[in-house]
Amino acid sequence: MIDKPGEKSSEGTLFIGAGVELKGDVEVPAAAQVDGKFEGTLKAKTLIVGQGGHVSGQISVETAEIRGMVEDHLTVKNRLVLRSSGSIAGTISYSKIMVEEGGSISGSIEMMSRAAGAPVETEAKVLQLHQGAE
Amino acid sequence: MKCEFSSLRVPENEEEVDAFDWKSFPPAIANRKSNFFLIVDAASGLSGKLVTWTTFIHGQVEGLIIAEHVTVEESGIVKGVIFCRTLTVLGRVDADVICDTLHVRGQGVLTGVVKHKQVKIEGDGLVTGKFARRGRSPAGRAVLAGR
Repeated sequence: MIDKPGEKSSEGTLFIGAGVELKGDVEVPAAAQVDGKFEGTLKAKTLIVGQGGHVSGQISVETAEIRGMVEDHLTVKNRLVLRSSGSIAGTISYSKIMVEEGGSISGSIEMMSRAAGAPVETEAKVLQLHQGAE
Repeated sequence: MKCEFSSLRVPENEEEVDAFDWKSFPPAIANRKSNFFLIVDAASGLSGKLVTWTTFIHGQVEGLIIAEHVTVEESGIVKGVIFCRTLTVLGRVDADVICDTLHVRGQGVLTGVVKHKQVKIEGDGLVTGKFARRGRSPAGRAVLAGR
């Protein structure tokens, strides 16, 4: 693809437009923007899910910005941003997270790397504390 | 004003959570005439069951907290169970949480099983565990049932 002078390069970028449905295993060198529907395995540097976008399956990216819906397994090696219209359900791994008010997050959440001094208690430990409090 | 706290307990299912009337919550009734709140300062620790209207925790609390508004400040540490309407975390919380609104701010760290209606996590906030949005999916009810 030849970009016009002054335009941002779209090399290595995947666009799934609204109304488009794609199933399969995809590896994207740069950004994947999903305004339609994707189902399968996706590896990309950046994932951008538009407000009407729907992504499900095994997703592994460096950064993600979610305005639509993401389901199943989402791994974000760097920064995950969930906007107010966005929804994530399933298993989520991240290094940094930001959730806007109104964003829906449910499922199992884990950090890929912990900040210095952060607690290292496991879920079992938390449940043990819960039982002890009753 | 004398409040009856002994009968207060954490709701055990989705219906009980939804039916919980915060307007009839004894500390909220007591608070209508005056603004009562509890501060656990950084040099203090509590263990057991804490019932209050609003609390700001700078120290350590281990056990059960039932309050309408809970703020775990930067130096605060809470372990156990929190049942509240709003939870703001700037410190560390290792707890199972049932709330309406969760707000993780600053360097706040939250680990646990969380049932919420609304969540907001800012820049450096860290969360780990199982999250479920209340009043929505069967998965959410499963998390509550698994507490």
